[in-house]
Amino acid sequence: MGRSLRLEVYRLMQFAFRDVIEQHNGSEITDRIFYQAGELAGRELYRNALVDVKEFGVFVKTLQEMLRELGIGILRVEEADLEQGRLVVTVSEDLDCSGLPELGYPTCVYDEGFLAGLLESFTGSVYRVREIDCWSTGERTCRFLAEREK
Amino acid sequence: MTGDAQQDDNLDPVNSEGRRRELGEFAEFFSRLLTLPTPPALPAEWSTVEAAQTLHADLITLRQAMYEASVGDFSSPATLPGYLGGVLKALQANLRHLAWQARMVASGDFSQRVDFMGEFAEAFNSMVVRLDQTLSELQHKQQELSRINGELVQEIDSRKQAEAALRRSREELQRLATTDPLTGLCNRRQFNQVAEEELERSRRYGHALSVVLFDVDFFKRVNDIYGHDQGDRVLQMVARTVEKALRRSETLARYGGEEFVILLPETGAEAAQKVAERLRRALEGAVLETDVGPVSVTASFGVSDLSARELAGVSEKELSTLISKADRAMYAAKAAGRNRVRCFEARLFHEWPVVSRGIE
Repeated sequence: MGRSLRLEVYRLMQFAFRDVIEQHNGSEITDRIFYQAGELAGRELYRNALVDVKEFGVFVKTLQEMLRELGIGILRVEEADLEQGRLVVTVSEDLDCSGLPELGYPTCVYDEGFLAGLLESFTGSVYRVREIDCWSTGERTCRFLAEREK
Repeated sequence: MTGDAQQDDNLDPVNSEGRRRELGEFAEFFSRLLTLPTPPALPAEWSTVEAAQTLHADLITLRQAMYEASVGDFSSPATLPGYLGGVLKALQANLRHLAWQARMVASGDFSQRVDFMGEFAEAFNSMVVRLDQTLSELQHKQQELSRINGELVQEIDSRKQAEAALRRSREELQRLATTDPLTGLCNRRQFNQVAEEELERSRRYGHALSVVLFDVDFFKRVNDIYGHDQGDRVLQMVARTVEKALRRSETLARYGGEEFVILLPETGAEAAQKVAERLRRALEGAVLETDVGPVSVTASFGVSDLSARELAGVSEKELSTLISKADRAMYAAKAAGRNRVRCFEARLFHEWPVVSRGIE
């Protein structure tokens, strides 16, 4: 059944987790938990599948292929300045939010952490990732701003 | 239409003629909003209707976004909500990503491929593949050129080395051809060549020229007593002693056996006799260190110079005549008791009509 898991089941579990955790801890701590979980997942994905990649272009290409294959989303890089430590990436058809009703606030906190974990592993620097556009805010394509922490 | 139906229609707020006309005007206005170059303002009668205001504002935003997309300007954020906004956003994200990919290609990353935007993506990917191939071919050609260049440099180096070796070999041959191997002085052949040139110069400018011929006295005894090796050492030391006492312009050569010859340009018989006397004294006073102890030798000197007739270029055998005269004078010195200098005099032709090599 693993490969035929339906999106609704995944989201049902994710949002159920989120709601319960939020009830116990509030939104802020829940966001932090999801961000850190995403970071952990990003680091693990890097360690398992991307650790041998040295070129940024190859890193992006490999990641694009993996995210598409895994059904996580379609990654695009809009800006990338590793010297300045600033990137803007978009994720279309995002696993976590695409098709959701407009909620008026971004929901891809886990993805923020996921991207931060990947970037930190690849560059060796700590990145802070923030979602600046989200399907849930009516933007359809999620856009993330990643900035290296000073 | 019956009068009743007409009445019913006018009373129906949805299907009334007035309502249809109003809807028609509404649709026509928004159609103009999509087609006119300058967007018309929302008419006052609809400006209080919120949905009309929102639709008007969204269509103006859409116009602006479409215009910016048409000129490739994606700097403004796509703020339109809903499906159209999502489409615009996706277009913006795709084209921004494409711009980033183009920059990556420009920086040398030819792994970039576009997997969206249909025909454009195919063209972009073909261009990148072609660029990659062209660059690879260029790099290959550059490597080939570098290799050929390296081989050429090596070839030039080896040719230079061969030329240098050849030059050294020629110089060595030249040295061997012109030098006496025992004493390192000019050999007879080289002396004759130099002397011919000097004679030519003397004849041309009417300058004096002398030849001094000297022979080590009793050299056979040196060989007999000390052996030929020591005899050779003695000849070498005689050569060094005389060489040191001469100027650079004066040519000293081993003429044969223990016989030496000196060419003195710009020098008449009188001055040449003084030079010969100086050399004679130098040899007489020199102690020649050999393996068997110090050896002293003397030598007999004959001097000859170009006569006025010869300077006028009359004789065809000047050099041989000049040396012959010096030879006669030298044998006259030997006959007179050795260890002395004699200048050629005409009477020596009669006294020594044929030079005997029997005298030591």
